[in-house]
Amino acid sequence: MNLYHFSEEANIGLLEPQPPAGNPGGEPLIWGVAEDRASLYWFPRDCPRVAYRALPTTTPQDRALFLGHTVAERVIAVESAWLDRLREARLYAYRLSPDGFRMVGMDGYFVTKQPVRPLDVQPVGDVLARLRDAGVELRLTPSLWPLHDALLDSTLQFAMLRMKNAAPRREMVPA
Amino acid sequence: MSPRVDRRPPRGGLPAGVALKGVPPTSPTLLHFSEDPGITVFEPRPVASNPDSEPLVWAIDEAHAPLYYFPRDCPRVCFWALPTSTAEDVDRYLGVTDARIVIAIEGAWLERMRETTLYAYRFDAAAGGFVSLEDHGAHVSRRTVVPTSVEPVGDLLTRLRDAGVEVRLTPSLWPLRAALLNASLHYSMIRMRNAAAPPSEKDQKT
Repeated sequence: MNLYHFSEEANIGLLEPQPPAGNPGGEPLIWGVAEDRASLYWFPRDCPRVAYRALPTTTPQDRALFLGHTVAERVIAVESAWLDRLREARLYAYRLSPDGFRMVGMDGYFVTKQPVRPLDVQPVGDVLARLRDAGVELRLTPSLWPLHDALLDSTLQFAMLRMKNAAPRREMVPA
Repeated sequence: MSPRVDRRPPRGGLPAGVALKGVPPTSPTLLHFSEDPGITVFEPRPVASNPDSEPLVWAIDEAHAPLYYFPRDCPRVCFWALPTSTAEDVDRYLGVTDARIVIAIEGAWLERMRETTLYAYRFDAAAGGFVSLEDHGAHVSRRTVVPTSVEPVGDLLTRLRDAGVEVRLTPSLWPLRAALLNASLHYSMIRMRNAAAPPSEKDQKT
């Protein structure tokens, strides 16, 4: 099994551990993801996005509600405000040996404290086309918050990335 | 507003000789979308799918125009809430979005969405003799109509974004279609004859 690291930089010869985004004092690490989570990272680094799919433990009700209207196994929603940046994104997939990585938390995420020399690098190419080719349902939507909130109470596997960059919630207007 | 099914024009245009009720247009100007940039005069004619239908010029009001920000032949499933929609359906289908309209297309149409140049022809509704069909922005005229202007729609995904539409690029439209047929939302299913065949097993997934 290989791991993947995505970057907007094309020519990284040696990946160096970095502190987590938003926490400059945190432990420097290199993150890798398993191939079946790679589509979550075919996005500009700062792009807020919400992704979900079913787990074996997902209830039939949640499966029907969130995935009953699609044949896609994974749904990813992004703010439509990011459309131009999605189209212009130039991303590179660095393939990494899993040696030296340890799994953290949710399935599919791995870290190492050591510098890593990538096995190879490939351009992700056109992001929208890649997602389509991977069978993902991509939603370009005005706001991620309603979906975000709905998923928090669900039994699906979800990932909410870079939500600090999401547009603010629409103000609740009294009826 | 009327119940969802009853006032929809029958598939394939309106029957020949149909009596129109003369309901005034919902907006002073109306739109007609085409991939042909060079139409100087719109002649009433039957809809393409039904040569026996009443010859008419068709137009849409501004509020519903995003349903046509697509290549003409692009299959798509559109839905939105009606005053008559149940709270349960609104929550189920629209609880996950702030968009007023959701439109799903097949991912296979991505390239055509980007490459198609579409033109918006504008009509003066009164001068053109248009009447409203009271069917979600649809208007018709029996007259020959000269457009007052024509302009390129521009990038379709951008226009949809700017109209506040949620666009879903999805592998197949059939599961959504099947679900909406039993829902109390408004739905428009356009050019479904061009949709990829339903997946044999996975479309039964619930």
